Amino acid sequence: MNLQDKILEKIEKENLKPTGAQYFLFKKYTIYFTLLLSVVFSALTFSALSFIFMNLDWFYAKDLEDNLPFFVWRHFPFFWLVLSAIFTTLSVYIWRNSPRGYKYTGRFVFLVLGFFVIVFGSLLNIFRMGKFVDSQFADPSLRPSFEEKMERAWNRPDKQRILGTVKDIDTSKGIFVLEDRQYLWEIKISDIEVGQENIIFNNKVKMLCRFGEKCQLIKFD
Amino acid sequence: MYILPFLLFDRNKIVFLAYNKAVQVVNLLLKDRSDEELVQGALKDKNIFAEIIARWQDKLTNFVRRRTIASAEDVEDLLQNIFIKVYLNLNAFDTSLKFSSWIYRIAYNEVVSEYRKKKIREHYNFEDFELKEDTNISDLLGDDTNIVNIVHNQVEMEKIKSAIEKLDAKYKEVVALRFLEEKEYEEISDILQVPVGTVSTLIYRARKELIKIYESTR
Repeated sequence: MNLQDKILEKIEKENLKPTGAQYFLFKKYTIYFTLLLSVVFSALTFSALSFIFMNLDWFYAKDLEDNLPFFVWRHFPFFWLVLSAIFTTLSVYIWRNSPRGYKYTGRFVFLVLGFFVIVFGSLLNIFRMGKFVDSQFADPSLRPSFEEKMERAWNRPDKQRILGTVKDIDTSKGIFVLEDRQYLWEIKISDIEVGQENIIFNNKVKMLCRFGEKCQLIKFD
Repeated sequence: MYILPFLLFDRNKIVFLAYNKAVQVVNLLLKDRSDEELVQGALKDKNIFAEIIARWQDKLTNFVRRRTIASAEDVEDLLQNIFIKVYLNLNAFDTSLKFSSWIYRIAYNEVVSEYRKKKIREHYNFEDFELKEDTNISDLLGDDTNIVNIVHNQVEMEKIKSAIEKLDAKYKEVVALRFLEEKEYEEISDILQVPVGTVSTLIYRARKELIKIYESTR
Protein backbone atom coordinates (compact mmCIF):
# COMPACT_ATOMS: atom_id res chain seq x y z
CA MET A 1 0.00 0.00 0.00
CA ASN A 2 1.50 3.33 -0.97
CA LEU A 3 1.56 6.44 1.22
CA GLN A 4 -1.31 8.06 -0.68
CA ASP A 5 -3.63 5.11 -0.01
CA LYS A 6 -2.51 4.84 3.62
CA ILE A 7 -3.34 8.48 4.27
CA LEU A 8 -6.71 8.28 2.52
CA GLU A 9 -7.51 5.11 4.45
CA LYS A 10 -6.62 6.78 7.73
CA ILE A 11 -8.81 9.75 6.84
CA GLU A 12 -11.64 7.38 6.00
CA LYS A 13 -11.16 5.10 8.99
CA GLU A 14 -10.88 7.84 11.59
CA ASN A 15 -13.50 9.92 9.83
CA LEU A 16 -11.16 12.91 9.75
CA LYS A 17 -12.49 16.15 8.38
CA PRO A 18 -10.80 19.50 7.74
CA THR A 19 -11.31 21.84 10.69
CA GLY A 20 -14.04 24.35 9.89
CA ALA A 21 -13.14 27.71 8.38
CA GLN A 22 -15.10 29.40 11.18
CA TYR A 23 -12.66 28.02 13.75
CA PHE A 24 -9.69 29.61 12.00
CA LEU A 25 -11.56 32.85 11.46
CA PHE A 26 -12.55 32.93 15.13
CA LYS A 27 -8.95 32.22 16.16
CA LYS A 28 -7.65 34.95 13.87
CA TYR A 29 -10.09 37.60 15.03
CA THR A 30 -9.63 36.61 18.68
CA ILE A 31 -5.91 37.35 18.25
CA TYR A 32 -6.63 40.72 16.62
CA PHE A 33 -9.21 41.59 19.28
CA THR A 34 -6.78 40.68 22.08
CA LEU A 35 -4.15 42.82 20.38
CA LEU A 36 -6.54 45.75 20.20
CA LEU A 37 -7.52 45.30 23.85
CA SER A 38 -3.92 45.11 24.93
CA VAL A 39 -3.02 48.27 22.98
CA VAL A 40 -5.99 50.14 24.49
CA PHE A 41 -4.94 49.07 28.01
CA SER A 42 -1.41 50.10 27.22
CA ALA A 43 -2.58 53.54 26.06
CA LEU A 44 -4.83 53.94 29.13
CA THR A 45 -2.00 53.13 31.51
CA PHE A 46 0.24 55.49 29.57
CA SER A 47 -2.36 58.25 29.88
CA ALA A 48 -2.31 57.79 33.69
CA LEU A 49 1.48 57.83 33.59
CA SER A 50 1.64 61.03 31.57
CA PHE A 51 -1.07 62.66 33.70
CA ILE A 52 0.96 62.11 36.85
CA PHE A 53 4.28 62.94 35.20
CA MET A 54 2.99 66.25 33.89
CA ASN A 55 1.26 67.22 37.11
CA LEU A 56 4.03 66.30 39.50
CA ASP A 57 5.33 69.31 41.40
CA TRP A 58 8.80 69.06 39.89
CA PHE A 59 9.41 72.71 40.73
CA TYR A 60 8.78 72.07 44.43
CA ALA A 61 10.55 68.70 44.54
CA LYS A 62 13.11 69.88 47.07
CA ASP A 63 10.39 71.38 49.26
CA LEU A 64 8.25 68.27 49.26
CA GLU A 65 11.12 65.83 49.78
CA ASP A 66 14.72 66.32 50.78
CA ASN A 67 16.18 65.86 47.33
CA LEU A 68 15.19 65.14 43.74
CA PRO A 69 16.08 61.40 43.63
CA PHE A 70 14.03 60.84 46.79
CA PHE A 71 11.16 62.86 45.30
CA VAL A 72 11.28 60.70 42.16
CA TRP A 73 11.40 57.53 44.25
CA ARG A 74 8.41 58.63 46.33
CA HIS A 75 6.22 60.23 43.67
CA PHE A 76 7.13 58.96 40.20
CA PRO A 77 4.30 56.76 38.81
CA PHE A 78 6.33 53.54 38.64
CA PHE A 79 3.12 51.55 38.98
CA TRP A 80 1.74 52.94 35.71
CA LEU A 81 5.14 52.77 34.05
CA VAL A 82 5.43 49.04 34.81
CA LEU A 83 1.82 48.36 33.76
CA SER A 84 2.30 50.32 30.54
CA ALA A 85 5.51 48.39 29.80
CA ILE A 86 3.77 45.07 30.51
CA PHE A 87 0.83 45.84 28.21
CA THR A 88 3.10 47.16 25.44
CA THR A 89 5.28 44.05 25.65
CA LEU A 90 2.14 41.90 25.59
CA SER A 91 0.93 43.79 22.50
CA VAL A 92 4.27 43.21 20.78
CA TYR A 93 4.07 39.51 21.65
CA ILE A 94 0.50 39.19 20.31
CA TRP A 95 1.37 41.09 17.11
CA ARG A 96 4.41 38.89 16.50
CA ASN A 97 2.22 35.81 16.99
CA SER A 98 -0.61 37.03 14.78
CA PRO A 99 -1.00 35.36 11.35
CA ARG A 100 1.41 37.67 9.47
CA GLY A 101 3.20 39.08 12.51
CA TYR A 102 6.44 37.24 11.81
CA LYS A 103 6.99 39.51 8.80
CA TYR A 104 8.18 42.30 11.11
CA THR A 105 11.09 42.36 13.50
CA GLY A 106 10.41 42.67 17.21
CA ARG A 107 12.22 46.03 17.26
CA PHE A 108 10.04 47.43 14.46
CA VAL A 109 6.82 46.24 16.13
CA PHE A 110 7.97 47.66 19.46
CA LEU A 111 8.73 51.05 17.90
CA VAL A 112 5.42 51.22 16.02
CA LEU A 113 3.35 50.16 19.01
CA GLY A 114 5.37 52.34 21.38
CA PHE A 115 4.78 55.36 19.16
CA PHE A 116 1.07 54.56 18.86
CA VAL A 117 0.68 54.06 22.63
CA ILE A 118 2.42 57.39 23.36
CA VAL A 119 0.26 59.31 20.85
CA PHE A 120 -3.01 57.58 21.79
CA GLY A 121 -2.22 57.75 25.53
CA SER A 122 -1.41 61.47 25.31
CA LEU A 123 -4.64 62.11 23.41
CA LEU A 124 -6.59 60.25 26.09
CA ASN A 125 -4.87 62.37 28.71
CA ILE A 126 -6.06 65.54 26.98
CA PHE A 127 -9.59 64.29 27.60
CA ARG A 128 -8.72 63.78 31.30
CA MET A 129 -8.70 60.01 30.92
CA GLY A 130 -5.38 59.73 32.76
CA LYS A 131 -6.84 61.27 35.91
CA PHE A 132 -9.91 59.05 35.64
CA VAL A 133 -7.84 55.87 35.25
CA ASP A 134 -5.57 56.81 38.14
CA SER A 135 -8.46 57.53 40.49
CA GLN A 136 -10.46 54.46 39.41
CA PHE A 137 -7.65 52.06 40.17
CA ALA A 138 -6.65 53.68 43.46
CA ASP A 139 -6.95 52.20 46.89
CA PRO A 140 -6.33 54.53 49.88
CA SER A 141 -4.29 51.97 51.81
CA LEU A 142 -2.50 50.11 49.01
CA ARG A 143 -1.99 52.68 46.29
CA PRO A 144 -3.53 56.10 46.88
CA SER A 145 -4.47 58.12 43.82
CA PHE A 146 -2.10 60.84 42.64
CA GLU A 147 -4.45 63.50 43.94
CA GLU A 148 -4.60 61.91 47.40
CA LYS A 149 -0.85 61.51 47.42
CA MET A 150 -0.29 65.15 46.53
CA GLU A 151 -2.82 66.26 49.12
CA ARG A 152 -0.95 64.28 51.76
CA ALA A 153 2.36 65.74 50.63
CA TRP A 154 1.07 69.31 50.72
CA ASN A 155 -0.98 69.09 53.86
CA ARG A 156 1.97 69.49 56.22
CA PRO A 157 1.65 72.71 58.28
CA ASP A 158 4.62 71.47 60.35
CA LYS A 159 6.72 71.88 57.22
CA GLN A 160 5.24 75.24 56.27
CA ARG A 161 2.91 73.95 53.61
CA ILE A 162 -0.83 73.75 53.67
CA LEU A 163 -3.56 72.68 51.33
CA GLY A 164 -7.05 74.07 51.52
CA THR A 165 -9.86 76.03 49.94
CA VAL A 166 -10.06 79.81 49.63
CA LYS A 167 -12.95 80.92 51.78
CA ASP A 168 -12.57 84.67 51.68
CA ILE A 169 -10.38 87.27 50.04
CA ASP A 170 -10.22 90.58 51.82
CA THR A 171 -7.64 92.98 50.44
CA SER A 172 -7.37 94.82 53.77
CA LYS A 173 -6.98 91.70 55.92
CA GLY A 174 -5.78 88.88 53.79
CA ILE A 175 -6.80 85.54 52.37
CA PHE A 176 -8.64 83.00 54.44
CA VAL A 177 -7.83 79.45 53.62
CA LEU A 178 -9.84 76.62 55.12
CA GLU A 179 -7.56 73.67 55.59
CA ASP A 180 -8.91 70.16 55.09
CA ARG A 181 -8.79 69.53 58.83
CA GLN A 182 -11.16 72.49 59.23
CA TYR A 183 -8.52 74.93 60.51
CA LEU A 184 -9.00 78.39 59.08
CA TRP A 185 -5.77 80.08 58.17
CA GLU A 186 -5.52 83.80 57.70
CA ILE A 187 -2.64 84.93 55.57
CA LYS A 188 -1.74 88.59 55.13
CA ILE A 189 -1.78 89.80 51.54
CA SER A 190 1.63 91.35 52.08
CA ASP A 191 3.05 87.91 53.01
CA ILE A 192 1.81 86.23 49.87
CA GLU A 193 3.22 85.94 46.45
CA VAL A 194 0.77 84.79 43.83
CA GLY A 195 2.03 83.68 40.48
CA GLN A 196 0.31 84.17 37.15
CA GLU A 197 -2.74 82.23 38.30
CA ASN A 198 -6.01 83.94 39.02
CA ILE A 199 -7.12 82.70 42.43
CA ILE A 200 -10.74 83.24 43.33
CA PHE A 201 -13.19 82.20 46.04
CA ASN A 202 -13.58 78.42 46.51
CA ASN A 203 -10.43 77.61 44.59
CA LYS A 204 -8.40 74.76 46.00
CA VAL A 205 -4.92 76.10 46.72
CA LYS A 206 -1.61 74.92 48.10
CA MET A 207 0.64 77.25 50.03
CA LEU A 208 4.34 76.97 50.61
CA CYS A 209 6.32 79.19 52.94
CA ARG A 210 10.08 79.15 52.58
CA PHE A 211 12.25 80.69 55.29
CA GLY A 212 12.96 84.35 54.56
CA GLU A 213 10.69 84.44 51.52
CA LYS A 214 7.09 85.34 50.90
CA CYS A 215 4.62 82.44 50.98
CA GLN A 216 3.66 81.12 47.58
CA LEU A 217 0.06 80.51 46.82
CA ILE A 218 -0.45 77.99 44.02
CA LYS A 219 -3.67 76.81 42.51
CA PHE A 220 -4.24 73.09 43.15
CA ASP A 221 -5.55 71.72 39.89
CA MET B 1 -31.08 -17.65 -21.04
CA TYR B 2 -27.43 -17.89 -22.12
CA ILE B 3 -27.23 -14.44 -23.52
CA LEU B 4 -27.93 -12.72 -20.23
CA PRO B 5 -24.58 -13.47 -18.42
CA PHE B 6 -22.72 -12.25 -21.48
CA LEU B 7 -24.73 -9.12 -21.49
CA LEU B 8 -23.98 -8.62 -17.79
CA PHE B 9 -20.30 -9.32 -18.33
CA ASP B 10 -20.20 -6.88 -21.16
CA ARG B 11 -22.06 -4.30 -19.22
CA ASN B 12 -19.64 -4.67 -16.25
CA LYS B 13 -16.74 -4.48 -18.62
CA ILE B 14 -18.17 -1.36 -20.17
CA VAL B 15 -18.79 0.12 -16.72
CA PHE B 16 -15.28 -0.82 -15.62
CA LEU B 17 -13.69 0.68 -18.72
CA ALA B 18 -15.81 3.79 -18.45
CA TYR B 19 -14.82 4.15 -14.78
CA ASN B 20 -11.12 3.80 -15.62
CA LYS B 21 -11.44 6.32 -18.41
CA ALA B 22 -13.27 8.71 -16.12
CA VAL B 23 -10.53 8.35 -13.47
CA GLN B 24 -7.90 9.05 -16.11
CA VAL B 25 -9.78 12.11 -17.32
CA VAL B 26 -10.28 13.34 -13.74
CA ASN B 27 -6.57 12.78 -13.03
CA LEU B 28 -5.64 14.64 -16.17
CA LEU B 29 -7.97 17.47 -15.23
CA LEU B 30 -6.54 17.56 -11.70
CA LYS B 31 -2.99 17.65 -13.00
CA ASP B 32 -3.74 20.94 -14.71
CA ARG B 33 -5.21 22.42 -11.55
CA SER B 34 -3.20 24.77 -9.35
CA ASP B 35 -2.48 23.81 -5.74
CA GLU B 36 -4.89 26.48 -4.57
CA GLU B 37 -7.68 24.99 -6.69
CA LEU B 38 -6.87 21.52 -5.39
CA VAL B 39 -7.20 22.81 -1.81
CA GLN B 40 -10.69 24.08 -2.63
CA GLY B 41 -11.52 20.75 -4.25
CA ALA B 42 -10.10 18.68 -1.38
CA LEU B 43 -12.36 20.51 1.05
CA LYS B 44 -15.33 19.04 -0.78
CA ASP B 45 -13.90 15.71 -1.86
CA LYS B 46 -11.15 13.97 0.05
CA ASN B 47 -10.13 11.99 -3.03
CA ILE B 48 -8.83 15.19 -4.59
CA PHE B 49 -6.48 15.39 -1.62
CA ALA B 50 -4.74 12.34 -3.12
CA GLU B 51 -3.52 14.60 -5.93
CA ILE B 52 -2.00 16.99 -3.39
CA ILE B 53 -0.20 14.04 -1.78
CA ALA B 54 1.02 12.79 -5.14
CA ARG B 55 2.31 16.24 -6.03
CA TRP B 56 4.18 16.89 -2.79
CA GLN B 57 5.21 13.45 -1.57
CA ASP B 58 8.65 13.36 -3.22
CA LYS B 59 9.54 16.95 -2.36
CA LEU B 60 8.54 16.53 1.27
CA THR B 61 10.30 13.16 1.50
CA ASN B 62 13.51 14.86 0.36
CA PHE B 63 12.85 17.73 2.74
CA VAL B 64 12.53 15.35 5.70
CA ARG B 65 15.45 13.13 4.65
CA ARG B 66 17.77 16.12 4.37
CA ARG B 67 17.08 17.03 7.98
CA THR B 68 17.33 13.81 9.83
CA ILE B 69 18.85 10.38 10.12
CA ALA B 70 15.72 8.27 10.38
CA SER B 71 14.61 4.92 9.09
CA ALA B 72 12.37 4.74 6.01
CA GLU B 73 9.50 3.77 8.30
CA ASP B 74 10.01 6.79 10.56
CA VAL B 75 10.17 9.08 7.53
CA GLU B 76 6.95 7.58 6.21
CA ASP B 77 5.23 8.00 9.58
CA LEU B 78 6.37 11.58 9.69
CA LEU B 79 5.12 12.22 6.17
CA GLN B 80 1.80 10.67 7.06
CA ASN B 81 1.52 13.03 10.06
CA ILE B 82 2.45 15.98 7.85
CA PHE B 83 -0.20 15.18 5.25
CA ILE B 84 -2.87 14.51 7.88
CA LYS B 85 -2.05 17.90 9.43
CA VAL B 86 -2.27 19.50 5.98
CA TYR B 87 -5.66 17.87 5.47
CA LEU B 88 -7.02 18.94 8.85
CA ASN B 89 -5.80 22.50 8.32
CA LEU B 90 -6.92 22.96 4.71
CA ASN B 91 -9.24 25.76 5.80
CA ALA B 92 -6.34 27.60 7.42
CA PHE B 93 -4.53 27.95 4.10
CA ASP B 94 -3.92 31.64 3.55
CA THR B 95 -4.31 32.33 -0.16
CA SER B 96 -1.98 35.31 0.09
CA LEU B 97 0.81 32.81 0.73
CA LYS B 98 2.26 30.38 -1.76
CA PHE B 99 0.91 26.87 -1.22
CA SER B 100 4.46 25.53 -1.25
CA SER B 101 5.45 27.90 1.60
CA TRP B 102 2.43 26.79 3.60
CA ILE B 103 2.99 23.06 3.15
CA TYR B 104 6.73 23.40 3.85
CA ARG B 105 5.93 25.37 6.99
CA ILE B 106 3.74 22.53 8.25
CA ALA B 107 6.46 20.03 7.36
CA TYR B 108 9.14 22.15 9.06
CA ASN B 109 7.05 22.53 12.24
CA GLU B 110 6.36 18.83 12.31
CA VAL B 111 10.05 17.96 11.88
CA VAL B 112 11.02 20.39 14.66
CA SER B 113 8.29 18.95 16.86
CA GLU B 114 9.68 15.44 16.26
CA TYR B 115 13.17 16.66 17.18
CA ARG B 116 11.77 17.98 20.42
CA LYS B 117 10.01 14.73 21.17
CA LYS B 118 13.37 13.10 20.38
CA LYS B 119 11.62 10.75 17.99
CA ILE B 120 14.08 11.60 15.23
CA ARG B 121 17.64 12.92 15.31
CA GLU B 122 18.50 16.31 13.87
CA HIS B 123 21.07 15.93 11.14
CA TYR B 124 21.39 18.02 8.02
CA ASN B 125 22.33 16.01 4.99
CA PHE B 126 23.84 17.90 2.08
CA GLU B 127 24.75 14.82 0.03
CA ASP B 128 22.59 15.80 -2.93
CA PHE B 129 23.77 19.37 -2.86
CA GLU B 130 25.24 20.60 -6.12
CA LEU B 131 26.27 23.97 -7.40
CA LYS B 132 25.06 24.91 -10.84
CA GLU B 133 26.42 27.72 -12.93
CA ASP B 134 22.95 28.99 -13.73
CA THR B 135 21.87 29.26 -10.09
CA ASN B 136 22.60 32.31 -8.02
CA ILE B 137 25.56 30.78 -6.25
CA SER B 138 27.14 34.11 -5.54
CA ASP B 139 24.53 34.09 -2.76
CA LEU B 140 26.43 31.25 -1.20
CA LEU B 141 30.05 31.89 -2.05
CA GLY B 142 30.20 35.56 -2.88
CA ASP B 143 31.30 37.17 -6.12
CA ASP B 144 35.02 36.94 -5.38
CA THR B 145 35.20 33.14 -5.45
CA ASN B 146 36.12 31.46 -8.69
CA ILE B 147 32.80 29.72 -9.08
CA VAL B 148 33.40 28.14 -12.49
CA ASN B 149 36.45 26.31 -11.14
CA ILE B 150 34.55 25.01 -8.14
CA VAL B 151 31.53 23.84 -10.13
CA HIS B 152 33.71 21.77 -12.44
CA ASN B 153 36.04 20.48 -9.77
CA GLN B 154 34.74 17.50 -7.80
CA VAL B 155 37.36 17.87 -5.04
CA GLU B 156 36.44 21.50 -4.47
CA MET B 157 32.75 20.58 -4.45
CA GLU B 158 33.40 18.02 -1.71
CA LYS B 159 35.20 20.70 0.26
CA ILE B 160 32.21 23.00 -0.09
CA LYS B 161 29.88 20.24 1.11
CA SER B 162 32.05 19.49 4.09
CA ALA B 163 32.22 23.22 4.87
CA ILE B 164 28.40 23.39 4.81
CA GLU B 165 28.25 20.38 7.15
CA LYS B 166 30.45 22.32 9.59
CA LEU B 167 28.22 25.39 9.56
CA ASP B 168 26.51 26.45 12.75
CA ALA B 169 23.08 24.77 13.17
CA LYS B 170 21.23 28.11 12.98
CA TYR B 171 22.63 28.69 9.46
CA LYS B 172 22.09 25.19 8.14
CA GLU B 173 18.30 25.52 7.91
CA VAL B 174 18.37 28.67 5.76
CA VAL B 175 21.21 27.26 3.64
CA ALA B 176 19.23 24.05 3.16
CA LEU B 177 16.07 25.89 2.19
CA ARG B 178 17.91 28.27 -0.13
CA PHE B 179 20.27 25.88 -1.88
CA LEU B 180 18.65 22.45 -1.54
CA GLU B 181 14.97 23.33 -1.76
CA GLU B 182 15.82 26.37 -3.94
CA LYS B 183 13.41 28.68 -2.13
CA GLU B 184 13.24 32.44 -2.50
CA TYR B 185 13.93 34.65 0.55
CA GLU B 186 10.23 35.52 0.84
CA GLU B 187 9.31 31.83 0.91
CA ILE B 188 11.98 31.02 3.49
CA SER B 189 10.58 33.84 5.59
CA ASP B 190 7.10 32.27 5.36
CA ILE B 191 8.37 28.77 6.14
CA LEU B 192 10.53 29.67 9.13
CA GLN B 193 8.18 32.49 10.18
CA VAL B 194 10.93 35.07 10.51
CA PRO B 195 11.24 38.48 8.79
CA VAL B 196 12.80 38.55 5.30
CA GLY B 197 15.56 40.76 6.70
CA THR B 198 16.48 38.04 9.18
CA VAL B 199 16.67 35.50 6.34
CA SER B 200 19.06 37.79 4.41
CA THR B 201 21.17 38.33 7.52
CA LEU B 202 21.35 34.60 8.24
CA ILE B 203 22.35 33.82 4.66
CA TYR B 204 24.92 36.62 4.67
CA ARG B 205 26.45 35.35 7.93
CA ALA B 206 26.28 31.73 6.75
CA ARG B 207 28.16 32.76 3.60
CA LYS B 208 30.85 34.53 5.63
CA GLU B 209 31.29 31.54 7.89
CA LEU B 210 31.22 29.15 4.94
CA ILE B 211 33.93 31.06 3.07
CA LYS B 212 36.01 31.13 6.25
CA ILE B 213 35.72 27.35 6.71
CA TYR B 214 36.25 26.70 2.98
CA GLU B 215 39.33 28.95 2.78
CA SER B 216 40.83 27.25 5.83
CA THR B 217 40.64 23.85 4.08
CA ARG B 218 42.46 25.01 0.92
